[in-house]
Amino acid sequence: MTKYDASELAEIIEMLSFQHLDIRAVTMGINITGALRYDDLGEGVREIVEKHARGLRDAVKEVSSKLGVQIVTKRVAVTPVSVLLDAKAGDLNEAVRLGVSVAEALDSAAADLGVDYVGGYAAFVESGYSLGDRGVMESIPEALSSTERVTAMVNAASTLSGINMDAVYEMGSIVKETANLTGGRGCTRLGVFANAPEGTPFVPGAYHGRGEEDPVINVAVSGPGVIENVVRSLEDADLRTLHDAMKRAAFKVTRLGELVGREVANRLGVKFGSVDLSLAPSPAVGDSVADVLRAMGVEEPGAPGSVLALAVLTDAVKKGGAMATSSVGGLSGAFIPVSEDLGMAEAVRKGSLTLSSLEAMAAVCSTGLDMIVLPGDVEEHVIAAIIGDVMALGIVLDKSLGVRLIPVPGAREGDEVDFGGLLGKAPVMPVGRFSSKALVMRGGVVPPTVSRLMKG
Amino acid sequence: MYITWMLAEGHTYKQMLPTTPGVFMGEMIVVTVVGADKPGIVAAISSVLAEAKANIVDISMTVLRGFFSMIMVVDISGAVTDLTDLRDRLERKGDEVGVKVMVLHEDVFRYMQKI
Repeated sequence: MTKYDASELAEIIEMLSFQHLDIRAVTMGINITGALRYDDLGEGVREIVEKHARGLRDAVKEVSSKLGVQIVTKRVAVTPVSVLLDAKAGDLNEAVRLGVSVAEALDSAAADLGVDYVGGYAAFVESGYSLGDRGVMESIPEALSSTERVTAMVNAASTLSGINMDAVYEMGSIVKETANLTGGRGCTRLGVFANAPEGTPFVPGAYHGRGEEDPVINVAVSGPGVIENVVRSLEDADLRTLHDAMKRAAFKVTRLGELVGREVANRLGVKFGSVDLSLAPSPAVGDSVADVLRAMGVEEPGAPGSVLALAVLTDAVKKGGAMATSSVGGLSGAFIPVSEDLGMAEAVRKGSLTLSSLEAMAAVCSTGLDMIVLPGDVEEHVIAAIIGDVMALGIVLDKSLGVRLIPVPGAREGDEVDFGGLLGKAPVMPVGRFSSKALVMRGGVVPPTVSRLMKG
Repeated sequence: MYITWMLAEGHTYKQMLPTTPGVFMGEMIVVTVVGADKPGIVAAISSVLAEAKANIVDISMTVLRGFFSMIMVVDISGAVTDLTDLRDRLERKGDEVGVKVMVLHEDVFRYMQKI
């Protein structure tokens, strides 16, 4: 063992004890296509998930106990369910019925295994649909309303294929319908993505990709409190110095993720996949990306300079994280959710943070528009247009971005909505008076940009 | 003072000192005690470690969040209780004497502080 000086020990103890540094999620990726061998698809899915994830709860508990590090959630990510429906369903009705039964099987397996979320109720429709994709999309409202732990995602755009605007428009309706069936809550488990990457440990973006080991462990870290503390200690530092200090802190945060991922994987005898080095905030005081921006010198997130500050932060996190692990995965950037970040919600209350400023910030973060509460009467085409904006950023900038919008039935602009726990609370945001209905109703596919041609 | 006390509690100098200067062997944990300074704290925490046959190999004093704090590096490779049990005992003892005790595995520090 190397010897440490007191300040090295104290720094880590401060991070873990007072700056909310923890492991946000340990996510096991599982290929569930073997369920096709079973007559009852739901039963097959349940058996396969239980076989692989049976030891997950204990392994996570043991590693947490050994290291003294808190691991907040355990998750499972499965093969996109559309793949199963393609193989098993003869028509759309059957696809919808089977989809819901798979969602319910995943939900009950998760409850039995002590798993907090199961991701992978997913369809990839960036350039068109299969029967399974349609089955998943049509059944999302019912699947989410009849489960507690299943998360759904639809990849509607990619740099290679462009944007499927028909799917984007449909997702406007699906978000609304899910909200109506669940009082808005179901939409906390529903995301629309551009370039959704494999190996994401975060929900709702998590799914088990074709290129991944089966099973595999992916890890998500937290850490905004650590970065904020570093920034606050460097009040007069110039931006290069600040960037360097944030990078060093991000290195340490990511190392913790790597350690925990390897330990859990070892205990389970499965392969360690990757660390998503994104700094995930939580609704706790001192665990906020917004507070990092404030510490950097932005009076309130949303003010001019917010994109600049977030870009510096994101780059520092990526560079520090890349040095810390050779297994970078998932979204890996900075998260800017609203309700899940106390400081972001506060900036909305103060009238500083708006949809437009969040859209601009999405260009330099990694999640896009996340956990944004909208009025219950927001129209479907408005939701679709917001999704379309983020999909456009995704394909033009060739990056992964997502949209998680939560219209809450009966809620009006300024009302406070509380989802509880890690999901947090936030005021309902205004959507503006003007719309692009005619644009989104044109439908069709937005062709890929020249980025596609640069790929050969 | 601590050294005298630990000797009295059955630790030997050899157990307390690193085998090679600057290098500790075995499985290590880091025990941190944070709280207002008052008599008996070191004795209380050290006695739990001694009972478990865990060896203190290094002690440093520092200030955490404005509180006087003691950080001990402890070798648990010869311990008679497992880490979870030892942590419970240390935390309970901390509650008794009015301090916060945190127990972390050395791997955390090695991963985060060393390249």
